[in-house]
Amino acid sequence: MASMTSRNQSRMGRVFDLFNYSGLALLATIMVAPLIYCFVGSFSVTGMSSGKFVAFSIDAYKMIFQSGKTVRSIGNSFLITIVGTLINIIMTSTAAYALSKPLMPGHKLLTYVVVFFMLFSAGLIPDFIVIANKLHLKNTYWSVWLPVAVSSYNLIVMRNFFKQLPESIEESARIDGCNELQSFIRIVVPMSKASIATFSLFYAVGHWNNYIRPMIYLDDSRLWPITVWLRQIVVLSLGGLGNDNMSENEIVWAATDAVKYSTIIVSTVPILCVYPFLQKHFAKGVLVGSVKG
Amino acid sequence: MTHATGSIGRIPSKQKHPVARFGRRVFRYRWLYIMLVPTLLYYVLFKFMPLLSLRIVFQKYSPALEVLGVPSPMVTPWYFNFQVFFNSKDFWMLMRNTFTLAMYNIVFYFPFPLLLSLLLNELRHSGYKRTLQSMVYLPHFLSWAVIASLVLLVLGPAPRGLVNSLLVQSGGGQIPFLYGKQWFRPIYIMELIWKEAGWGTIIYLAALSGVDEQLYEAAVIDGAGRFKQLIHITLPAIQSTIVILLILRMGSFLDTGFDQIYLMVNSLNRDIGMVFDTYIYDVGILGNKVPARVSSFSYSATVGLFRSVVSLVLVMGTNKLAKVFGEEGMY
Repeated sequence: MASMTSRNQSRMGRVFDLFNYSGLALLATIMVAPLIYCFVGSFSVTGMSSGKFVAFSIDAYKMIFQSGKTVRSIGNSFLITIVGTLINIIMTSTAAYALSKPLMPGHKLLTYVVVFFMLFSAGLIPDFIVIANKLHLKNTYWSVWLPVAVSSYNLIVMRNFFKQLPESIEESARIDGCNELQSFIRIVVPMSKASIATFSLFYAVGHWNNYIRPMIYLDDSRLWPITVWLRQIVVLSLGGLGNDNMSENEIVWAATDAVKYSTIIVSTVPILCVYPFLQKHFAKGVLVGSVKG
Repeated sequence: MTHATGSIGRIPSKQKHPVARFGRRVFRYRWLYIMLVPTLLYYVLFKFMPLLSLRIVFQKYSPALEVLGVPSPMVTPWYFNFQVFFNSKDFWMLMRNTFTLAMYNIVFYFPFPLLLSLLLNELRHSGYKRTLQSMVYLPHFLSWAVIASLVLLVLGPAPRGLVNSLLVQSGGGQIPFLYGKQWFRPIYIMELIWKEAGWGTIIYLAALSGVDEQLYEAAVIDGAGRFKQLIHITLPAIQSTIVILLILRMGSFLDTGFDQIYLMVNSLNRDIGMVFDTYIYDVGILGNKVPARVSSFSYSATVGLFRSVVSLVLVMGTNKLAKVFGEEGMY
């Protein structure tokens, strides 16, 4: 009787496995399918809208890289992402380290402040008044770097990560005459590579993909990142009105289907390239400290 | 302070005045304060100053006057901006749209990463598992601008959109995926699942990898099948993770995704698609459809304040509720 049930279960288990293995494979394929469709379409002369691959061509990519605006917007995205992420990481990690020391006077108050602002924000308009009218950062990249320089949530998670590092190594550094800043740079940062890499990835993805902030704060089309420019191309080609003064030629150019496909690919590939480099750090770094606040 | 300096000669240094002792402790940690300076400055400039700017909800804010250094006039009664907002039909439209999408989010999206990670956890071939994981993470890295563009290329009207082109080719009519009101919410939630469900499994999978293997071994000896193992071992082990994620989700209950919705809303689906965030942008920054007798800035800042307060109440309420049910809560 006992052997019967266990065999039954294993047969049930095998049926489940069959469905699970194949079902998840199907789901994963659906997840990547649109991008693959788009990738294939970017090499088809007229795109893929009719559902047919027309003729192989790399003209769309040639057009993109000859177009000053696309190349410039990709460059802008790189600038926004690299500088923005550096600011994020330097500020978040130093502050998180300081807040991880409970003996520091004011530690509790400062932590409360961070948690409060994690839960409550003044809102878009007060932010806008400060950024645009008081600090005059509009139409500069400071307006996309500084207002998101520190994520309160990431700060708390990183603080929790630093908290659980062994105190003893830092102690020995202090005896050797290091101050906190020195021991942070020489000892804590090398120990926390995985965590720092993970947060860099989070921040970098946020910068690269940001759409609405540049829309709000960057009126000058020469400053636009690729996300805003891509939207412009796609909307224009649908007969909508762009809010930039584009020339006739550019409108015709943007309307070419394959250009849309290839612009999507070009705006996606750089951030996907970062991913494998950081992936090895990932599983280790991501969760430590994130479960409890 | 005078007392402390006056008594320095007589009292041994251990019993210094509390202020002096505090000063010494602060000095002891000076390097940590130096490390905190940039972030403190950030909080003052970009978090605290906007709070002060919130006073414009009691004003008829005029950028022109502010430039001249003249304060904007106060409104009478002081709650005038709130009154205009609560009495407008936009208020109910926003409440309905935002809360419906937020509920869709919790009901349809929230369980998805959990389900997906439980299924992925059952895969025993680790190479296969890792490959599928990398595939389902991928859409997270796409921007909403890219996703909106992809959706246009796939679901847009013919001849640009793939599905509608195929429908037309096969002699059928087009389906207004991007313009029909009835399609807004399903497409919203499908986009969200597609983009974030895979990524959302990370935190669950990490929690699942921490479950003690011996528990499963013991369960197998006791004759528990895989379903029973799921109910009695796996789910209890990740229960607190689920609760914390739910609290976090409730905290951002009204964050229905600014970028995503802004890119989806058009004049045809506005009635159903507008949420607080897009409305504030539309009225406040772009100056569209500003109600009479209010300043666009003051009015939309009022909407924003209302939204922030509701958010705060929701997250604190959920946290409290979690504690009542014996979970640890978040803070």
